[in-house]
Amino acid sequence: MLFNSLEFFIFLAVVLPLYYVLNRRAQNAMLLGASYFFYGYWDYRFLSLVAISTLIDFWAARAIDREQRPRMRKLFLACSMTANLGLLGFFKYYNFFIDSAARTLETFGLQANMPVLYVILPVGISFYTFQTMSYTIDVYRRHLPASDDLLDFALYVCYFPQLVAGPIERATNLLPAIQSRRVVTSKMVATGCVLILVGLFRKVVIADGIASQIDPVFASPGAHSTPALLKALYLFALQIYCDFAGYSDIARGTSRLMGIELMVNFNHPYFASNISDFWRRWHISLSTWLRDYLYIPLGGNRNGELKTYRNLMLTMLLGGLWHGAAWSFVVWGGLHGLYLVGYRLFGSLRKKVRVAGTGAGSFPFLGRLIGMFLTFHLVLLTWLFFRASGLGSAIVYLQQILSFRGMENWLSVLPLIAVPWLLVFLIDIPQHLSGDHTVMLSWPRLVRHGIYATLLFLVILGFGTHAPFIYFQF
Amino acid sequence: MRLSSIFSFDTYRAIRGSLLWLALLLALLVAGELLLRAPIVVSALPRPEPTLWHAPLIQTKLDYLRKFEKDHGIDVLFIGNSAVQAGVNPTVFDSERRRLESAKPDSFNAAIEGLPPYGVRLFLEIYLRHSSPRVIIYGITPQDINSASPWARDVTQRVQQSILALAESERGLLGWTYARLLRLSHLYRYRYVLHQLLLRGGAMRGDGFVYFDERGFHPIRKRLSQLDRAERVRLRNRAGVLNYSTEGEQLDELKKLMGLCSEKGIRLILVNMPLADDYYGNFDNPADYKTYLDTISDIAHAYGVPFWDMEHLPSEQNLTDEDFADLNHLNRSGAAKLSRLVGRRCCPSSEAQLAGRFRKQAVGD
Repeated sequence: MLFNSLEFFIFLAVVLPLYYVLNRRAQNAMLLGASYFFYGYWDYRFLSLVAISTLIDFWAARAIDREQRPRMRKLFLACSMTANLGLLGFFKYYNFFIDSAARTLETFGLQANMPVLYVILPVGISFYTFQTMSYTIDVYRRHLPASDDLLDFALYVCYFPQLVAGPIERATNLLPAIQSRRVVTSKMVATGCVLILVGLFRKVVIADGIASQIDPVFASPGAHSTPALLKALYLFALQIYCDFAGYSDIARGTSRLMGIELMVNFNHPYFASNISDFWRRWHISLSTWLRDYLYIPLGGNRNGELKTYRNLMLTMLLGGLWHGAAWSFVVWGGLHGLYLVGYRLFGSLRKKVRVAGTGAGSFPFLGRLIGMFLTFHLVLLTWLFFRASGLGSAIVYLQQILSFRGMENWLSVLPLIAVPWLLVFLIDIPQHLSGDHTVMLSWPRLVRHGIYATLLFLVILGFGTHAPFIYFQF
Repeated sequence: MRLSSIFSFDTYRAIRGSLLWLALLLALLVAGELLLRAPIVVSALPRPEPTLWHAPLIQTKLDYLRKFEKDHGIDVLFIGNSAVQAGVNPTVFDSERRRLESAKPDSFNAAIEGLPPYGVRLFLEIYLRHSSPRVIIYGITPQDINSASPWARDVTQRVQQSILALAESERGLLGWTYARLLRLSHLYRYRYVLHQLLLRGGAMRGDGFVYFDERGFHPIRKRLSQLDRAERVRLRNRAGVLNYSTEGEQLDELKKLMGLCSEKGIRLILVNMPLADDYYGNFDNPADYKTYLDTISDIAHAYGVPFWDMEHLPSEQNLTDEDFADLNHLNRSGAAKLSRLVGRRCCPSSEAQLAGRFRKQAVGD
């Protein structure tokens, strides 16, 4: 079920009143049923996968928690990891590896008859698998006790607002909220509604509205001029942000209506002044997951510069592969890895220069603006690989941009790029400056309600295309 | 069961406060509706249609179809995807039939790019609201019935979400509601145009270049024979026939389409569209093409529908790379050849004679 569909709002209109009249235990049971319905509405067959993942980790975490012998604890952890990664590997990466192996053999002149299976990618598998894995690892690390209530744990795994596209919640945050009595305050209702409204504006008005200017260009990059290609690329950077941040806003807003706080997943990433800052603002739940469960266990920055660079590259490459089973995602991750390595190198160099007393940092605001501009454009390049239908298509796209064909029309595309960005900035700049995603609530009453009404009016104008969220496929 | 006191007291105050912005919203909606009824405003805006179709120019094709039906009446309707849109020239088809039958046939190419059977059936429902053809010729390609095709899934999803497609067909309660909403509310009709005008800073282009003629045919000049090996490899589109499996939604839709034609008393003919030799490299397994042919033959036989395999043409009509624009689209000269051949097969007098010359015997005909 999509957040931007009529079905979702009918679903919510049934779930919320029920939720408000039940006690905690009954609320959890009802939410579990509702979450399974929410997921099964897309394809009920894959509910079994969610259930299997839930049961495995419930059992493994309890076994780990009860067990005192380190070897046995490790064994149970390995069982959970194997099962989770096995499911993810089969459903998400099977065809990718088979196809890649066959192509590799073909380049050596060998005809490979690989077993090709028709494997559908279950929606949200990467999200809930990472969520359950983090729970078992945290229990193994003794960061939290294992849950002894299957109902509570099952709800933690499939809580519908964040089930299919995150945020990837940690058990240390979400599980206590599920296990305790919730109180819905007026502030939660108000901020929840604002978040839903802003999320719908980002998704329905901006992301879906500009899709018609992006899709045809990426479908045949060879047929378009440089300004058209640049327009589509700049707009895609906005689309993916509005699509995913919009989803997270709606998820957080919906959850607040039930008195449960979800983590902030996007914090105005395009205002980041360097690539490291970008990753503290973009898909925060994934970047912190990768940091805590991959980068740090690999050694993080504790074993010298070279190993730090290796760890950064590995983390980002796997982060790229998490997004999808294609080489273009690997390149996307690889580029981000290289940027992070480059930024770290640049940081140590800058320290040395500062020690030499060059007076760097005299214009902090200007430096920040330049940093924002450079960071955005480095990220923009990676979006090309992310969006293109394949590596070959991305290269054609780049070549066509560099051909500078049709540059005489560059002025005509400027408003097409600028207007949607400005509309988003009208919301993002006040949020960013105040550090509050619901800053509108503090504005004068009439202004505030006027903005709500306008946003809703625009959402109604754009409502109806029901385009799925881009991140559903991951 | 004990009720939880989940609300704090001031929640009700917040709910009351939200009534103000709902009132403002209502004012905006009414103002928008009134403004869009002013002729001066409407004349300054672009056309309210196309927009939510899965591909541009669909509304133009529908307009052409309505006009052609009004001016001439449609006798034969061609349906399918872009392979049919570029592969059948109704003018050539009609002149061939006129030559053989001295009849006055009028055909229209209603094929639309990207459509798998799900979309073809929905659009056929729309067409049949405007025209009543005697014969429908459905040009089919292997990728149409591959249930594993991400392309077919994607387009199906887009078509399912197309408000205009649902409204035009008036399919189900939702389609009926959309149709009335579009008719009654100017704001609803113009909402996409207004949305796009906002995002494009007031600059919205028209429909752009209309690439098909007034009878729906899309002539392509390009020749496959002019492309080098590397370019041909780039043209391959494995996604359409990857993991080839015919069981599933698209085949069911094809069956429903056959049922629809039979219910309306329209003669349906399935035509296997010609493909360039390199196309077969798209298949994982060469046997997949046979699976496709057998599947179509079987259901055609079961429904008593003729199935003409135009992939295997008589030698003098054989299509070469000179006749293709790419691996699965004929160019103008290829379309002329195919249209003549289909036109000839449609004439009862020449049909039997011609059928014998096909290397592969057509099924159910």
